[in-house]
Amino acid sequence: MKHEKLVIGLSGAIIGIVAVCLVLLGNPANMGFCIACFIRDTAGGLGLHRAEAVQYVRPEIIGLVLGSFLMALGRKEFRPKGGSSPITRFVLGFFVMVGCLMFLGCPFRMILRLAGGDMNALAGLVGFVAGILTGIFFLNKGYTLKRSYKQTETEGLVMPICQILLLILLIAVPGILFFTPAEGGPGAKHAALWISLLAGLIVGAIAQVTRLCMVGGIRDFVLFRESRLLIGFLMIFVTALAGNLVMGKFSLGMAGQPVAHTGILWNFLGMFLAGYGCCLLGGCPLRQLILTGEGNTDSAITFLGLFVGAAFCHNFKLASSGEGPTVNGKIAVIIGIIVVTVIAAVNTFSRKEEC
Amino acid sequence: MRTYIATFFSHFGAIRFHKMLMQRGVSGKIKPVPRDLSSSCGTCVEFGMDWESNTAFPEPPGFQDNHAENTFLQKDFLTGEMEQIVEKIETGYRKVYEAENI
Repeated sequence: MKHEKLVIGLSGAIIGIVAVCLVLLGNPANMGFCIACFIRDTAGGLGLHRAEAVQYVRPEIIGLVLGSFLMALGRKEFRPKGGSSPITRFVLGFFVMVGCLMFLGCPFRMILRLAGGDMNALAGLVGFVAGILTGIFFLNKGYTLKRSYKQTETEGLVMPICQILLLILLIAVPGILFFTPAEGGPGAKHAALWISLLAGLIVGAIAQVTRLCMVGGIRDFVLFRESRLLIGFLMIFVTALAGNLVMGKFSLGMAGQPVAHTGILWNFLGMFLAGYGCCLLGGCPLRQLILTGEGNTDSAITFLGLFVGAAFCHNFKLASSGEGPTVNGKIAVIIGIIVVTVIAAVNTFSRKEEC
Repeated sequence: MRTYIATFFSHFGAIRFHKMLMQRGVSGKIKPVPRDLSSSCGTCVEFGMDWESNTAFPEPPGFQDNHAENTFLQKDFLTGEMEQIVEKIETGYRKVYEAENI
């Protein structure tokens, strides 16, 4: 037990250092990693939305899936399975992205924003925990998306292969992709392709071994007083904080934080929706990518839900910006909370069996 | 007394199984699935049981050869939410039951 905690703690430390290094090497501030932002950028890079400021096929996402895939193969844990309410998972993924882009970050970036001194992320953290607690309420009442079933090897390989094809496009024929022009926004800020890919591969492999998951960390602590997964994220916070302080990247406050807004209520509600949806999905966006690499097609569908959600967010002006949240975004978050609650209730109380 | 770990497709399945064990006087603990058992991150129930002498479970499990015909084990023990049961042994785990198509 102690050994596992040590491994997770060290893994968190490595991931925190990698995240700070990515910022130093070109990624946007407090955005060494952001699964939501990077999926959004990738959707833009493929032209699924036309927000020019956020268009870049992020090699980190490719690396995360492939890092997990390779590690799972090596550990004989590549076991394709799926069929657990895939369309429901797609919808949940969609609205998790709506919540993340209201806040401007996934749970991973929320930690990195806090480590950079961005106090707006505190409201997000409180909302995130509240969302998870709401999800746990339904878990304890009988919520389930039903069981998954063994799938063919081919089915499990599809998403990792798609990531390889995406990488080939990025390297060999970048001309057909969309890129944010220089100085044109966060999409223009990125580390070199190979560095981003390597960072993704390292973090993907580590996350596969440790099962690192922000939602799982808080959920397990609440349900079982089990702190293993939480230790990983605490170590990400500590090392990223130390790295930011050493590199002069720490800036304490609320106003003027990079790729963030100061709307406390909407930071709270955005991450409430994200935490709520992720708890019902069984894992944060990072975890969904890792499980996708392990051949979990339910997580692959969730990944696609996040992807399409990101495109919608920018096509219909749901995503916030440094200026603050949009009216459309506020409406979408409220709709999201209602939809997620309906999904939770239907998959909890429609069950005939009682405890 | 042997120690077993049961894993489930849902958190609620674990809660329900744990409750059923307690009702039959079997001590068990709900906890996250151990990493060395699975790469998935669900909920499991660890419980100790001496199958031969426990009157609440009238027959040994016989999971692998489907020996437990129409007994309490088949009717209630193996709920549709159960993914697998393993026995903790010195060298790791010994699989004693696995749901179909996992």
